[in-house]
Amino acid sequence: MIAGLPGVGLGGLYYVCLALLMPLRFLFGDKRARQPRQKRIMMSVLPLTLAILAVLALEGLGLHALAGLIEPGTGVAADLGGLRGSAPRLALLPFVLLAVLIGVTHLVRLARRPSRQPG
Amino acid sequence: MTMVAAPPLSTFPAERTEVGPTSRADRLTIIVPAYNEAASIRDTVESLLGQTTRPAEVIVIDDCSTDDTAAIAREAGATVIQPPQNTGSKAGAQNFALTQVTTEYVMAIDADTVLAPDAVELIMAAFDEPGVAVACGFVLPRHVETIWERGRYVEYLFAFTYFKRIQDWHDKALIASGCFSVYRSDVLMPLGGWPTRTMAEDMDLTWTLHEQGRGVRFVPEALSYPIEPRDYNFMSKQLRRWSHGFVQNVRQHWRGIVEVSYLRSAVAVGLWDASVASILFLVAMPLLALFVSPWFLLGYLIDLPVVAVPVLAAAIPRGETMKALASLPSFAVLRLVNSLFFLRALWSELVLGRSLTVYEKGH
Repeated sequence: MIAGLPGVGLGGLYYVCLALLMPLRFLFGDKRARQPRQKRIMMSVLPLTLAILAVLALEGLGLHALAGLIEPGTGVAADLGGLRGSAPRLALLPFVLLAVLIGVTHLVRLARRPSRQPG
Repeated sequence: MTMVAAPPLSTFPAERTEVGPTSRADRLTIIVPAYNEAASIRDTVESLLGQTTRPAEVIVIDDCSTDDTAAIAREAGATVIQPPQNTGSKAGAQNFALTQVTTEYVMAIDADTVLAPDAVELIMAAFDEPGVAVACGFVLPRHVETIWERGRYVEYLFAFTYFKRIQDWHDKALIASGCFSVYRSDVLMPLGGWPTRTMAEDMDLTWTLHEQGRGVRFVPEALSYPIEPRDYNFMSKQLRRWSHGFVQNVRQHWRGIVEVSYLRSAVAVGLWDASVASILFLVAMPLLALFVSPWFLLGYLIDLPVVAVPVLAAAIPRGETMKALASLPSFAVLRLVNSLFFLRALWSELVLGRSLTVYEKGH
């Protein structure tokens, strides 16, 4: 069974971020990242992640080009122009949400820890 | 119905390697819970007995079927046992058989699932690593014809090729799939076997093992082929069970999983996508399309090219490129329906306090 909805929701972004961290951890000498099993997984996941990023970039360029093809002054052009204008903020939002969500899980963990007794 | 994903059953039994007394498969009992599985049980038992490394025993639990499941399983070479009355769930049937297991390892496999000929040999190798308590394999629908089977085909190719491998890198596979997993008996038995308190016993057990610091491994080379729901009636039963099972497990385990690194964040994003993303899909996007711009409808399809990357990476070596491409739209449909079931499960379990307790078989 699959938990959540697979795709490029927050879950998708989360796994892409984890995949991008693998080579960084490997390069910085993380012990786990240098184990043979982890290296093997990294080598299978990293090309997929780079391909996913390339497809995302192509999609962005495609939408940009589509907006340029549509006759200026039409309602459709206005719609696309509006979306294009807010694109940087929209692109940032999932990263912020993901960071907040992970932060909340850490806070819940800390809140559940029993406070240390003095002495 | 044509068999497209699995190797033809005529290839079973596979060429058998000489197995020494130390082979792990010799120390493996396979248990197959079955209720009215006359149509599929023979294929399942034959694929188990035709493995490159043969298990010590294959036990079919005939959960008081009203068809010929028991006779067919016995004829195919399995040991058949029957509880005094229907156990009411897959976990109940599995636990009934667990009392008779004396081997070091025990495998659970669904009665509608066949394995690739070398699946047992490959999955057992995971236990070479100390500390591994459970190993699970790659799952692919055996038949890929209807919109529901096609949606599931893409979902599995995507999740098992990408998400699950990343989880495995962190030693935190989210679920050891109930349809094909192997456990160390000395870990499983003290836990009382498979829990029956939720509708997703595989998730429940996997999270318990993570909380105990046990090793959970994913073996992508070990392939299994279950029969997935063919129509909406069966699919809705399965989605209902899985969505309720997920919410029930979050409620049951949240205190434990916040202590487990990566698992806590993986479950949190899963819950987010099941709730907030479902609301976006079913409520926000139609409203935005209606009142702001119809271009928001692109939101339903915009990630399909991204989903296609891992899907094609898995499908091309299997010679299934066109099948994967043709199945992508079905994935979008299944995901939309799935989001509705998740929202209903959240509402029912958390708001109304009505927990799903009746196990409805949906393949």
